[in-house]
Formats: sequence, structure tokens, C-alpha cells
Amino acid sequence: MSTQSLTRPAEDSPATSLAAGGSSVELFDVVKRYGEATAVDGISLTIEPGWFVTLLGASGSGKTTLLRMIAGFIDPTEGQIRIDGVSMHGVAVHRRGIGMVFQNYALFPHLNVYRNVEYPLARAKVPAKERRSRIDEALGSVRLTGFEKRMPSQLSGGQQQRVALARAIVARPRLLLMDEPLGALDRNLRESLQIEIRQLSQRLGVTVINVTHDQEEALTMSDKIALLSDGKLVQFGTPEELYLRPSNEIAADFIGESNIFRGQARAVGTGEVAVEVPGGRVVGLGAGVDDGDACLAVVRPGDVQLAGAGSQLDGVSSVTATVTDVIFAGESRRVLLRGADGQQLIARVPVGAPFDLSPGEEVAMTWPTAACRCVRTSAA
Amino acid sequence: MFAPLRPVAAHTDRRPNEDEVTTLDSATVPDQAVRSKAAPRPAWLSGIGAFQSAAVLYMAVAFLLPVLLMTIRAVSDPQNFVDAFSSGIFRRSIWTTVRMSLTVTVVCLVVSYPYAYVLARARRTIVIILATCLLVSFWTSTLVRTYSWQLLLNNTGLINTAMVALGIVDEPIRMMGTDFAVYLGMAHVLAPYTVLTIYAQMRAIPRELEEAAQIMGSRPATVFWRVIVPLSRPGALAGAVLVFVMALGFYITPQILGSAQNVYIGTAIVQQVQAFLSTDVGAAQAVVLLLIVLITLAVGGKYLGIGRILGLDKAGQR
Repeated sequence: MSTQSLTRPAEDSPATSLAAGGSSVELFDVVKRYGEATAVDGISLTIEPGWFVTLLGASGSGKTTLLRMIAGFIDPTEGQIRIDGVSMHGVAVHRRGIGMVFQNYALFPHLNVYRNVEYPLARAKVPAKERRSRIDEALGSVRLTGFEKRMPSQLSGGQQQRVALARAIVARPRLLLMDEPLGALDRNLRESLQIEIRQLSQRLGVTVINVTHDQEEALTMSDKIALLSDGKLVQFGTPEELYLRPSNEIAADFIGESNIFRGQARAVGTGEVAVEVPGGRVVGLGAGVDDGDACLAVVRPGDVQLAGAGSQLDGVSSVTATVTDVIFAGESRRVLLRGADGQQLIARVPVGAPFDLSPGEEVAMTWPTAACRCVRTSAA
Repeated sequence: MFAPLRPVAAHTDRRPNEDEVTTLDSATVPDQAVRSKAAPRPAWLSGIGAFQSAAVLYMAVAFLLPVLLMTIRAVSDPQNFVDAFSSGIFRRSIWTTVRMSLTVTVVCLVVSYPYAYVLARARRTIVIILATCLLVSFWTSTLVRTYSWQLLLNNTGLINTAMVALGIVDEPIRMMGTDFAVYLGMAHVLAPYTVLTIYAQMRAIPRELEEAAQIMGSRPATVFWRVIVPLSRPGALAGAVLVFVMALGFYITPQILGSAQNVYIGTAIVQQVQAFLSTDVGAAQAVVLLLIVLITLAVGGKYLGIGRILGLDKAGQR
């Protein structure tokens, strides 16, 4: 069992001997039902070796259920999970050779740091003399050398998190699962650990599947984000794709601040769609939209340009709105606006740009056509 | 009937038939009572305080006083102790009692671990069934349970009849009047205590720890030995001390199920008082038993954290 998965010979990498490459993970129409409730509703996903993939979603979106199915703690009701092309159906958790970081770290309270990190090596029957060097290296890679004798209760949250990480990688897994690994830490620590984990996983070449509800964390750490909602896969793509080209309202809403306009498509050109919305006209990119379709258009606040009513704008889009508030936010000003139908809109204007708007003023919003994405609303 | 009494104390009320020889009660209960009195609660005459002082009073009259009188009677003449130990039956009964109590304790632990684990982890319906079995057995009189074993273990009892009928054995195996029968009967009475102390500890083990052990390559048996057992050890040890001390004071079960050769300490004392009519020597022997119990509790309390399980000390370490 263990020889097959846990102790694959390490590829001789100068960077670290803990590197063992990454696994591919494929999900085929995975479904998990609990009685009447469907937690995961037909998710298919292909994860290439070495990718850092984040399963992002609100609570109840099915992200943790999906992760636990990959780990083997629960079995899918339908569908198949393959790791390195091998179906995991009927493969017990302890035979999967996966590393995992748990939400509350799950360090063994009765074992010191050294024994905790040694645990997977002992189970894999790694010779005693080899253990020492691997534990040293794992603890070194999370910068915890010298903490071997401490008990978990004597460590801070961030240190416990790193022990958990060291313990998860010491057996050289090719797949590392992380269940909200940074959820319990304060903001500063979270940000530095995000970068640390990201760099470590790149150095090891390990495939990582990370679960979080924190979109910033997802954007910072991931090669790919799988956005889940109500047990379904909403969008799977790079952080940039999700941010700049959200494929629907859920994606637009979840990732970052955005302005969402609804209306009917008029004048559909090649790749471009004009949408008639309350207070004006929105032009953006969109494929597969027909004349007359109900549409929604998404524009990020940073792409919005504002001009006092009446002044000339260079964009073809134009939506009138009223300034409700101006918030100074360091590098930019956040301008809150109210659209013609009362909806909340937002623009972000760089601090360097000339700015003379005040609350109550009526303005026109516009943007480069390429910055706006139009999607047909399926419900309509 | 006395609301503020904790479970260990409450059980004495349900079990008058083990009476004088169940020395656990006289050993632990005054301890609890004293502590609750010592608690910094100025309004000790109102509300819970009044209940507690009533309990203290009851315990003082019902337990401390008899034990005190017995002790005075025993120590009033040191010759009593000389006489007590001059009895070969008594000397042997001490060893028999300690040996059998230890065996029963081990049996209880072995039986309780899997039971408690299932109780802590199984799904609801199974938990309800197991908990019901445990509690019904717990609440049934020791006397009734002991006689039930007699019905099962007799030469003409259910087990022997069935085995002969099925051709497993040619003639009935003698089980009544053996140490085996005593172990069976006592473990049956005492195992609920270890099940409950172990269960309480297991419930506090996060399931995540088991999952972590699993994904790091532990098969289920390894998870149990490497994670569940070490983390529930304090509960097991406390339960073991509890059961051992209670086993020392048993009377009915070894008397009914046991052999005439291996006399239990309680039987030896009763013999001393009822057959030889030497109450003073019997009192001295009872004081010896009481001392064994107190020493066990003191050692257990110091090294095994039994106080934590009984709720006698402040919040646990973890």
C-alpha cells in the first residue's frame, strides 16, 4: 500500500528532495446526495499535474464535500474521481497517498512537533535513519527548525498551520489537499502564508487543491479557480479570466466588486453586443447572444470612466447615474453611484486623475468596450 | 432523591444491597461532600447551597459516622489487627480480592474500549440502542444480574444445556463456583463505569484527528491505537481506578458466583462477624480494606487524574 503511493522515489531536484511532482486529478460528473439534498451536482473537472487549483464558493456550495470525496472520506453517489488516471472507487483513504491540511490543522495533541511530522513517514515505513533528514527538511521549508520538541498547544496558530503543512508534505505526496487552511488566522498572517504556501507548492511541483470562501485568497494563490455555487461548477479558469471575464452573474458577483447591468440585447455585431439598460446603453463583448435576448453586462469598477452630464465621452457605452458618495481609498477614489433604476453602481478613479465630482451630481459612466462582458441570462 | 449529588454518590442510594462492604462510597463521597462545602459560596443556606448542606449532613450521618464508629472500634485495641492478620482466610482473601479486582478491571477496559468507541462514533440509531442496553443494565440491581448469571452458568443452565444439545461438549462444563463466573458477573456490573469514562473522553477527540491519521496512511486499526487510545487514556485510567476500587468492595457477586476456596475479602469479613462473632476483629479487617481503597484512590488521584473524571478538580488540562 504505502510503497505504491507514499514513498515514490523523489526526483532528484536541486531545490528540494521533497519534490515528487504532481498528480493529475479528473472528476467526471461527480454527484453527492444526502437523502433529498444534493450537495454536489454533477461536477466535471480536469486538473493537470502541478496546478494550484482553488475550489471557491460560499458555504453550502459543495466545495468541502467535493474535497472530502477526493480525499476519500466520503464516496460520490454518482460519477468518478481519477487520480493519475486511476479510478479512486473503492480505494481506502489510507491508500491514496494524499497530503492534506485540515481546517483546524488536526495536529495530534499528544505528540510533539517532531512526532507529528514523523507520523506519515512512520506509517509509510520509511527507514528510521532517513526520517530525520526528511523531517528536518520539511520543518526547514516551513521555517520551523528548532521547534521539534514543542507540543502543538505551545505553538501559535500560524506555527500550528505550518506544522500541519510540513506534516502534509513530508511524505512527498503528489497531491495536496487544503481545507480552508488559513481560515483561522488573522489577516496579515494569512497574506504572508498565502505567498509562502504558493511558493512552496511551486518548488515541490505538487498538485494542490485548496478550498476557500475567500476570493482574495483564491485570486492570489491559484493557477486555476473552480467557482462553485449550489453544488454546480459555475466557472473554471485562471484568476484573470474569472476576474475579467466572469461567465455569468454568480461569477461576476462573487469575484471582486462589479457593476452588473440588466437589459435586452439590441444591435448584435460580430462579438459585440449593445444592451439597452435603464439610463442608457451598454456596449460590450459577448458571444452567443441573439437580438432581443435578456442580457446582463458586467463592468469592473476600475474600468469605469466618469464625466459630468453633457460632457463628451469617448466610449460608445453611456449610462447616467447620480453620485452618492466619494470614498478616498489610498491609491484610488471609490465613487458610489445610483443608477436610473436605483441600483448601486461603483467606479474607481485613480488618485492622480483630475476629479471634481461631489455627491448629488449627475454623471455619465462609460468604459472601453473590451472591458465589458455581456452574457445571456439563462433564466429569461 | 438528593438533587445535587453527583452520579457516583447517587448510585449508593440505588444499591443498598452492597451495603457495608462497598467502601468506595465511604471513601469518595465524604470527599465530595467536604469539597462542595468548602466551595466559596457564601449563600450556602439558600438555593443550591441549602441542598448541598442537606447532602453534606446526610452523608455525614449515613456514611462518615458509621465508618468513624467502626474505625474507633477497630483501633481501640491494637490486638484486633493482630487477630485480623492471624486469620489465614483473611490474609489469602486480600490477595484473592486484589488479584480478581485487577483481572476484572482489565476485562472491563478491554470490553469497554470498542463499546465506547462505537458509542462515540456510530450513527444515531445504533448509539440509542447501545446506550439503552448500557443504561438498562446499569440501572438493574446487582442482585438480579448476579442471579441471572447463575441461571445462565449452572450445570443445568442455558449455556450448558445448549452446548450439550448441540454436541459441542459431552457433559456440562462446571462454570458456577469458578473465578471465571466471578469475572463475568463483576465485569458485567462494572463495565458501564469504564464505558462511560472512556466515552466521555472519546467524545472530545475531534474527528479531524482520525481523518488526518487516515490520510497519512493509517489503516483503521492504526488510527485506533495511535490516536484514539492515547487520547482517551486519561478516561480509561480514571475508569480503571474507579472500577478497581469498586471491585475491591464487592460482596454479593463473588459470594453467589464464586468458589468456596477463593474467598473474597467481603466474605471473609462477614464470616468473621457472623460466624466467629468477633465484631472487633471484623471491624479491623474492614479498616484494612478501607485503607487499601483509600491508598488506591490517593495514588490514582495523584497520577491518573481520576479527579478530572469525577469533576473534582478545575477544568481539565486541555
